[in-house]
Amino acid sequence: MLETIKAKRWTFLFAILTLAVIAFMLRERYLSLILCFIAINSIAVTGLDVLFGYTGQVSFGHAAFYALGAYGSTLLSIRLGLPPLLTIVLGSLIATFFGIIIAFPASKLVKHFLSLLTIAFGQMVYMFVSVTDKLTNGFSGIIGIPRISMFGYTFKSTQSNFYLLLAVTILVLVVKQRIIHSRIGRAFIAIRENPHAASGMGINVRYYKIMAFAISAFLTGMAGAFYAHLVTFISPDSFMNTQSNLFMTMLLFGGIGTVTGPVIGSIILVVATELMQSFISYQMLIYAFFILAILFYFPNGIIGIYDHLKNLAISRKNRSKLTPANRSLSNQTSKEAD
Amino acid sequence: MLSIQEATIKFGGLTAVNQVSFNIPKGSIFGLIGPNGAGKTTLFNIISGVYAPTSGKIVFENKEIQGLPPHKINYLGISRTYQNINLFKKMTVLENVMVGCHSRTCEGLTSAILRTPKQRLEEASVIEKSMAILDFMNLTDKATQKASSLSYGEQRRLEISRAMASDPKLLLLDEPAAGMNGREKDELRETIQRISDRGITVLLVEHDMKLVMNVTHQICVLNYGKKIAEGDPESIQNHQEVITAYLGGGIDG
Repeated sequence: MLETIKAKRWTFLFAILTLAVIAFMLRERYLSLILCFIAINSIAVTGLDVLFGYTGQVSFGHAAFYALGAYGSTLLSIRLGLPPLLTIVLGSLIATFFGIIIAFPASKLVKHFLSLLTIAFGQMVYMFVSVTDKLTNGFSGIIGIPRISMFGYTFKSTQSNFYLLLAVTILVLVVKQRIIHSRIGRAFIAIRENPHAASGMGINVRYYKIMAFAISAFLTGMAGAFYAHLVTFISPDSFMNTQSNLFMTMLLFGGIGTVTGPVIGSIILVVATELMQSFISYQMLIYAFFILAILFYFPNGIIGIYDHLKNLAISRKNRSKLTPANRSLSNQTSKEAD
Repeated sequence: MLSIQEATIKFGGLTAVNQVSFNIPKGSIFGLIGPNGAGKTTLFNIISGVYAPTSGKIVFENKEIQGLPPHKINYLGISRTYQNINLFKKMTVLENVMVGCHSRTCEGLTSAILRTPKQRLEEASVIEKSMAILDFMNLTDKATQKASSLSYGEQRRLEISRAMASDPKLLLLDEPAAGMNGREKDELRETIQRISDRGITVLLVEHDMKLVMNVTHQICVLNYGKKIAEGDPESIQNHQEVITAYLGGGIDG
């Protein structure tokens, strides 16, 4: 009990601190933009997590869905004049559509074969948006993308965009949490843990693998669409292989298969990217070291480090404070705290 | 209930199961034994849909099921355990059993996102049912632990619990006693008896002769993929060909 109260107090303190930092950052336009990028990346990486973290299907081509969402929404709003709020949904659905198509061959592959397929897919979409001059304006990119508006209000300032993105991110996290704690989420995790046994327990493995691809593509596509309407300019440069690797780095860094992991990973890497602007050409090199360090020392990411420290603290407390007589009692409380 | 009709499977030049036929009567405990490599597990995999037989039929409740994928066979009412434990290691004991309920539940993506009353009701009933099964298998106090933290014997019991969660009419147990100590084996025998008392038909593959002879009603013996004998435990123990197959030694476990 005591531990739960203490844990709650820490969460509360942490929430206050986060709000204070956000409030401070919102005073300035550039810092607000960083907050927006954190939110957008959180959504995209949450999408990747549904695929990789829960069903164990690796993807090194998620920038493709990001691009499909961004270009889909942009072209629909510019060419057809549809309201951005609608085109964001349509753009996400375009990404979903391609997600399902790619999932049919992908659901038969595992590990390195799947990695190769997703890399190829990412490259295909990148090439497509680069060479179709008439449709996407090629390498020059598209400027003047309309901003999001709702009930006559246009989200012009970066700050207002952040409030919108924050709401969407929270919604996405709640939806993900609900999917994971349902029959479908259990099927996803069962497939990751042991596809043979999952199939034997009545789970249609292929169907759920494709479903995971669809959900993942939808979320990452949506993040791409929001990105386009936030910065109002897109070009193929934003959707290179590097972007896919960045999503994967964020996910591994934050911690796979968790709700908060993608958010933490996004915060750290977006901030790190901004801090490293002066030596941008070394960016991927530095990330590569990040990934190696994580994979070797903390395979469960930042969340994993936190859990590890917590367990360490609890077990140390038990050892030092307790006589064997009431040790069983403390085990119960520590279980509750978990 | 389940009738195997001249089932044959060939892997390249090797005939792993050769023209095997037998019937499992409803409500019985049926034993399938044979020396190592006799094709018992392969036959299991054919019944549960992992392999499609090269020729022959598998008829379950008047329906041909050979060649159906495993998840459909589970849905029809055949559930299995695995010889080399195949649990969802990072999930808790309770979650493992909850996964087992999959084919008896139906709520989809939208209802999960919206948390509809119906979906919440179904989730609650899944938890209730899973806890009841854990209680039945004597694993209640382990419910919140990770499956990987269980002892070997407990993991075997969890495998059976998970298989029970899909309300099977026929339960396939693939060497459930492997790696168990004497006391655990006695408990297992009792458990199989109790499962049978619930009206579930059991097909048991096992090397432990004491267990097989004590618990089964009928036994089929395979050797080199062929059926060499079928009958009640007593007649099998005195069957000349069976004794020869087990290297001429007595069958005393």
